[in-house]
Amino acid sequence: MTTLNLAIHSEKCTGCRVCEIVCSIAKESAINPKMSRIRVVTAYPGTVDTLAVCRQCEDAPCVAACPTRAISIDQKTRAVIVDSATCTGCGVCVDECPCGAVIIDEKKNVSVICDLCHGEPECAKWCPFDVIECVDPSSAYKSNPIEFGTASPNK
Amino acid sequence: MAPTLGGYTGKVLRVDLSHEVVRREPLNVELARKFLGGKGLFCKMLFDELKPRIDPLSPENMFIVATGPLTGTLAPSNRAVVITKSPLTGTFLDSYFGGAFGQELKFAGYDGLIVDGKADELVYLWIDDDQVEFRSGKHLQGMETSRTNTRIKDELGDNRVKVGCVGPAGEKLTRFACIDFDVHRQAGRGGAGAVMGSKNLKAIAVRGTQSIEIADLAALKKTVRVTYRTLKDNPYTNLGTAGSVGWSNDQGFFPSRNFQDQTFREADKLGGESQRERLWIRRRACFACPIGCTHLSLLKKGSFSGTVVDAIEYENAGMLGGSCGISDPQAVAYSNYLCDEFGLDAISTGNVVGFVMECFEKKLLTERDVGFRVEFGDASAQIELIRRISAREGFGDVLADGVMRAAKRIGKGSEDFAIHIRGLETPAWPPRGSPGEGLALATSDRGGCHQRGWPINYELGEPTPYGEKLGRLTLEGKPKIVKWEQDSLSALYSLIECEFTRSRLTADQYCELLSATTGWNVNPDEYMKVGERIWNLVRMFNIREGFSRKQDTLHKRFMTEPLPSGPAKGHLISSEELNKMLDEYYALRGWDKQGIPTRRKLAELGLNELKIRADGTMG
Repeated sequence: MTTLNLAIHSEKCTGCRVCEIVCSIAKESAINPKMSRIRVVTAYPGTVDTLAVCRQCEDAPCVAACPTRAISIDQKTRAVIVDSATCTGCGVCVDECPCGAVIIDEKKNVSVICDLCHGEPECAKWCPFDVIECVDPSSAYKSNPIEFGTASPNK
Repeated sequence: MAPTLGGYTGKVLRVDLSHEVVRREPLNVELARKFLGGKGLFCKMLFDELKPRIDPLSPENMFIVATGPLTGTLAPSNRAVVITKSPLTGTFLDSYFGGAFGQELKFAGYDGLIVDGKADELVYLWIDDDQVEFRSGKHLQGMETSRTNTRIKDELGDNRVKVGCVGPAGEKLTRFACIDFDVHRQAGRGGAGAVMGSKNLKAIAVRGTQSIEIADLAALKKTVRVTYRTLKDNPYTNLGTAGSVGWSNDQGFFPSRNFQDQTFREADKLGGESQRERLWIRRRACFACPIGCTHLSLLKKGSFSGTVVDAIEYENAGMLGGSCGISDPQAVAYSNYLCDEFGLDAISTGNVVGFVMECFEKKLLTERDVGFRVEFGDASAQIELIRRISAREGFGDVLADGVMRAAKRIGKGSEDFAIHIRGLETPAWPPRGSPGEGLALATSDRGGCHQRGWPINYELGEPTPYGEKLGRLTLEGKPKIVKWEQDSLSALYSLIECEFTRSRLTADQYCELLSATTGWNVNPDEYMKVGERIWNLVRMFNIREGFSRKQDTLHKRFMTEPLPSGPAKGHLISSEELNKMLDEYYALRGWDKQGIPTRRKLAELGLNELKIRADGTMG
C-alpha cells in the first residue's frame, strides 16, 4: 500500500470515459459510469474535456464540513474515505468540494469519493491516453483543486 | 439457475408519436442469439413489422436507434446505429455513429428505441431511465444542431444528458439529412434525419443511471486489456482518417472534380499532417475508444477564424474538398462544420455540390438557374449552396432531394454527372482501379457506400484473411473477398463495434468479447455465419422493396470513362467485367441469376420464414 496522488494531465483527455467504466467495475462490479468516482466533465458539448476526481486537498473542505464526521483522511494512503455507516447522504460534501468530485449514490443514500483503489487506481492503469498518472505526493507535483476542475457538473 | 444474459438490458422501448403512447417490451432473446443486435436484430424487427413499399417519409416508417450487446461496455470503440427505410434510396438503411448517445440509451435500460407515427407538432423525446416524456419542440424549430443540444441540456438542467437531434435540414426533409449525436458524431448517410423530420421529431434526449450486467467481467477485462494495447498502434491513432488522404491520392482513389479524376493535385493540403499543423487542438475519442481518431479543431485563418470545428475526416476531405476542387483546409473545415450544424450528410453534400459544379462546367446550368455562379474550386459558392440546400431555398430545393432526383429535374443529360448508386451519393472511394471495390459498391445494401465491404487493402497486396493473394486489377478472387467482407462487417455491425478496430483485431477476439459479455459461447465460424445470415436478411428486405440484379450496378462514369491518371490510369470496370463478378458473387452467395437468395440458402441460414414467390414478391 503506497501513498500517492493522482496527477491529471487534462490536456491529453479525449473524453473516452474508459476511467469511468473501469472505476464503476472496480467499485460496483458492473458497468455504470454514473457511479464512477472519476468523471469526464465537458464545459460545452463536443469541446474540451477534463476530469473531476478527488484531488486529495491537504485541508479537505469535505472533511471539515461533514456534519456526521463520516469523512476522514486515510493516514496510510492519504485517500479521502467515507464511512458509509455514518454518512447520511445529506450532500454537504458535494456542495463543499471545490472539484465537483463527490457524488451521491442515490440507491444507498451515501456520498462516494475516490479512495485511490487502495493504492492501485484502476483509472490510471486503464487510461488509454496517459491522462491519469500516479505520482509521489512528495514529488514536484502538487495537486491544485482550482486548476483541476472548477467546472462542476450539474449532476 | 441459468447464468445471466449479459450485455443486453432485455428491454426495447416503443414510442408511437401519433398517439403519444409509450410501451416497453421484453427483448426476444431467441432472436438476439440468432441476429445478435444492431444491424441484425433490428433489421429483423424492421423486416417483420414494416409494411412493404411504404413511403419512407410517411408516418408508417419506423425509426430505430439500436445498440448491440457490446454497446456501453468496456469493449473497444463500441457504437450504436440508426435503422430505418431510407428516403434517399428506398432500401434498408443502417447508419452507425460514435460519441456516447447509444451507450446512454443502454444505461437508461433499453437495447433499442423504436419510433413510429408522427407528432402533430414539433416535439422532442425525453427518456430519463423509466420515465419517457413528450416535450414541445416548437421553440427549437429551425435551430442548428449544437444550439439544439445545449438548449435541451439547459432545459433539463443536466449537461450530462445525451442528445441526438436534427438540424434545419432534417426538419425540411432534405433527403440526405443526418442526425447529430452528442456532439457532431453523425448518423450521416442515407437520410435518417429526414425520417426524424417527417415524424416532427426534433430531438431525443436520454439519461441513464442503470448498470449493464456482464456475464464474465474478469474475462471481459482480460480480453479488452489486450485489445486496447493492440489498438494503440493503429493506422488511425496519429492522424485519424485524414491520414488516408495522401495514401489514397497516391493510389489513385481520391476524388477530384466530381470523380472525373481520382487524383487531386492539392490533396496533401487536406491530409493529416497539414491539418495537424493548421487546425487541430486536441485529440478526441468516442466512448471506450483507445484509438481516438478525431481531433477538436480551431479555424485560425480567413473569414471563419475563431470557429471551433471538427477535424476534416477523410470522406469530407474527399467530397467537400477534392470532389469540389477545393483544397483550402480552413474552407473545407468550415463547410464541414456547416453540414454538421445544419444537419446534412457531408458526403452526399460534397457530392451534390460537385455535381452542380460539373453541370456549370458542362454548361447545363447557368447563373440564371442557380442564382450565382458555381465553379470548381469556389468555396464561397459551396457554402452558399450548403445553406440553401439545408433551407430548401431557391435551387437548394431541387438539390435537397439528392443528386439522382436533382438530375431528373434538371434533365439535359445531367444524369451522366450525378454520381450515385441506387440514389446514395458515391463516397470518396471511387472504384476505378479496384474492381473489388466496384463489386462492393454495386452490391452494397444501402447504395453507394464503401463501408459494407472493404477489399481495397487486399487488392493492393495484403493477403486475404484466408491466405489468398489478389491482383489489383484482375477479377479473380474478388467476389469471394467481397462476400467475406460483407459477412464479417454485418456481424461487427451487430455487436456493435467500430470498423476501425478491424485492422488490429481478429474474429477470435470479437468472439471472446461477445462471449465474455453475454455468457454465450460464440466461435468465429458461427460469427461469420451470423454475418451471412444478416446480409441475406437485408438482401431480402431490399428485394421486397423491388431491388434485384438490375440495381446492382455502378454509375456509368466508372464503367465507360477510363481513369485519366494515377497508378491505375486507363482502368475502368466494364459492364462485362461487372457482370462476370456479379455472376460469380451470386453463385458464391447461393443466390439465383437475379441476385435473389434461393430457398435452399435461406433454409441453410435459418431464414425459412422469408418466403418468396417465383416473381420475387413475398409469399
